[in-house]
Amino acid sequence: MPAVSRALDRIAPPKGRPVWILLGLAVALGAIDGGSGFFFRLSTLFSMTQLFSTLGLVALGLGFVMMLHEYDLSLAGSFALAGIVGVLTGVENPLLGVVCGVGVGLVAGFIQGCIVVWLRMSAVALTLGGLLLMLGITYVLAGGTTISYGNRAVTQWLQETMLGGTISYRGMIVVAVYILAALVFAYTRIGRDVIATGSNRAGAAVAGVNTDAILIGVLTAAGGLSALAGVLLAYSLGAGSAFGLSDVLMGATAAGIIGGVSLGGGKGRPLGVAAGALTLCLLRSGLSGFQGDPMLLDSLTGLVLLLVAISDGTLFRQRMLEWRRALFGSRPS
Amino acid sequence: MNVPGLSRAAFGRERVVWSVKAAVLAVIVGSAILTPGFVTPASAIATLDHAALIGLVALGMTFITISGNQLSLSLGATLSAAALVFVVTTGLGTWGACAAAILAGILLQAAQGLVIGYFGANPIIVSIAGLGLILGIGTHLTGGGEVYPAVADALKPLHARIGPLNMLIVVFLLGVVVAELLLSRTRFGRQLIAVGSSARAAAATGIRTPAVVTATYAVAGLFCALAGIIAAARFRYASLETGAGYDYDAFGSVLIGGTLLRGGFGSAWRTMMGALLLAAVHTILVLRGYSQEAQYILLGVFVLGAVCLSSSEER
Repeated sequence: MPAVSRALDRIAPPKGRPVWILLGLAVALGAIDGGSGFFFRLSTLFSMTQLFSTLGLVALGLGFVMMLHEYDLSLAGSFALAGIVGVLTGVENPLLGVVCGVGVGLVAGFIQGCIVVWLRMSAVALTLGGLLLMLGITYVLAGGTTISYGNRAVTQWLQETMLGGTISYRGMIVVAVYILAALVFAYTRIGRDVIATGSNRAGAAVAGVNTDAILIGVLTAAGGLSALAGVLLAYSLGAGSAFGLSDVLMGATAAGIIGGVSLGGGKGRPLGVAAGALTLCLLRSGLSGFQGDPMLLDSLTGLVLLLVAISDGTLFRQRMLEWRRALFGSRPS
Repeated sequence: MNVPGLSRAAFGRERVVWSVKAAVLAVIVGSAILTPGFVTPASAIATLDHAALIGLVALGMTFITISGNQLSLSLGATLSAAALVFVVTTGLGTWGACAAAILAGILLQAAQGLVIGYFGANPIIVSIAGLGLILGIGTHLTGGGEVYPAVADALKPLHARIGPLNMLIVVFLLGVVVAELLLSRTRFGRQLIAVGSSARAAAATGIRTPAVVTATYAVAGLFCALAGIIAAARFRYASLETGAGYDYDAFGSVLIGGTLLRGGFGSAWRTMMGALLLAAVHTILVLRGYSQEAQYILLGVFVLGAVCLSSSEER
């Protein structure tokens, strides 16, 4: 059916590379397992989707920001603060907690976006300030400890499983958000405007894209998405607490990069980010299935980030050319 | 072109920036005077001491910011790693262990600088990768816990004092002088400022930017290692947590001092003043009984304000 394949083309990640990486990893882990049963277990799949429901939304938000050739450190702050706000406001009415928590993330993203646009500055430094401020408020609200969430029914509902015990309701919410994001990105102007703004901001502005609105909108959405991840995690753990920078941001950055988002901006799709995030989560759940050192994963993630940062470097092609010339001599033209 | 209008707007913005700065300074000085116990020798030493540990890392960050690479998020982790190396190698004697720790700090940062300078890699992502690698491998090696020195006597020379000043303050003040001389009196300093102003223009004039950026990060690693050694000697143990959070204070000090975020302009004096200001606020908050959490918020507000002021000055 050409219509279906056209639609798939439109929504699917660029050239399908992130999906191939994900499948390749699954096959590799399966081969290492070799029928010993550590990897081929339902629990591996479930722990993967559980990890994905935390990492996935932050990765999606950060992915959008990275498509614009920007970076948002404050997402780790929205994530932590929204968790605490959700736990504090959502005991009686869990939806109110979600609204308050996500609202905090949206407002934080919106304000930072406006300042970035107003002062024409890079988002990294500003969002470092935002991160510190939000972590400070988180510490004040939490009083330095974890706050437990009193509504056990919500915690249990989010942990309930479906599809043969492979995914929790929380995971399904995240999947739904991803599908929505992928559809909006593929079928509205927003997707093309984001890519255009990320590839060449001045050019996009000349072509009639409201680049300021795109930047503010993306930072706002990213804040909201990571806030949603924070609230959902706090609800399902039954507690909110402060998290470190490396816990959330490093995984989200790596997920985006594996998922085909370029550090130089202007490349990427929501479902590519999903594949990237799933790859990391599969790696982690697979490693813990083999009783591997979870710290190995942090080092691996760091290594992946480093390699991608190198190959995305502005001078990378030039250096490779220099190396080739040095190794093989210059070719007579 | 409406040039007079433009310059009037720029003039107005300049006035706003200056009045905000003056107001903040007035509030800090005012509350310092009004806080009982602030204007005493003891609190002055405590403030200087607090400023020194932040300040050493901040001196390293100053070089990175001037080089046009904004900030590094792996300086705190490098501090921890150097502290761990120092504690583990105390068998080599005090100065042997110091040398080992300094070497570790320089190597960890210089490697990142090489990648950033040679490949033009994104400095923030490289520093996050560095953070992950240092913490990951460090946890694997140490088991994530505290490490105590094999030879406790090796710490003794580092507890020496010169008059009322402890080793940390002495090293910091010396560090400021050395950093300032490096920046203003050496060829490396001038090349660094050229690279920070415009890496492409610097490369066009024959400056080897990869070497300059690598050296910049090596200097940052050196200052982190000094902070790590002194922290380890003071706490009498080291862990991966030793340097956690220093990146933020350091970056705050650099910006509050007035070093420009876009690179190419800044000084060690400015960073020292920034660190002293942050430390003074810290002392005021402690004397007035505010919690650690309130200090985080204030640091966030300071960094936000400094970033906004810094970038509105740049236009």
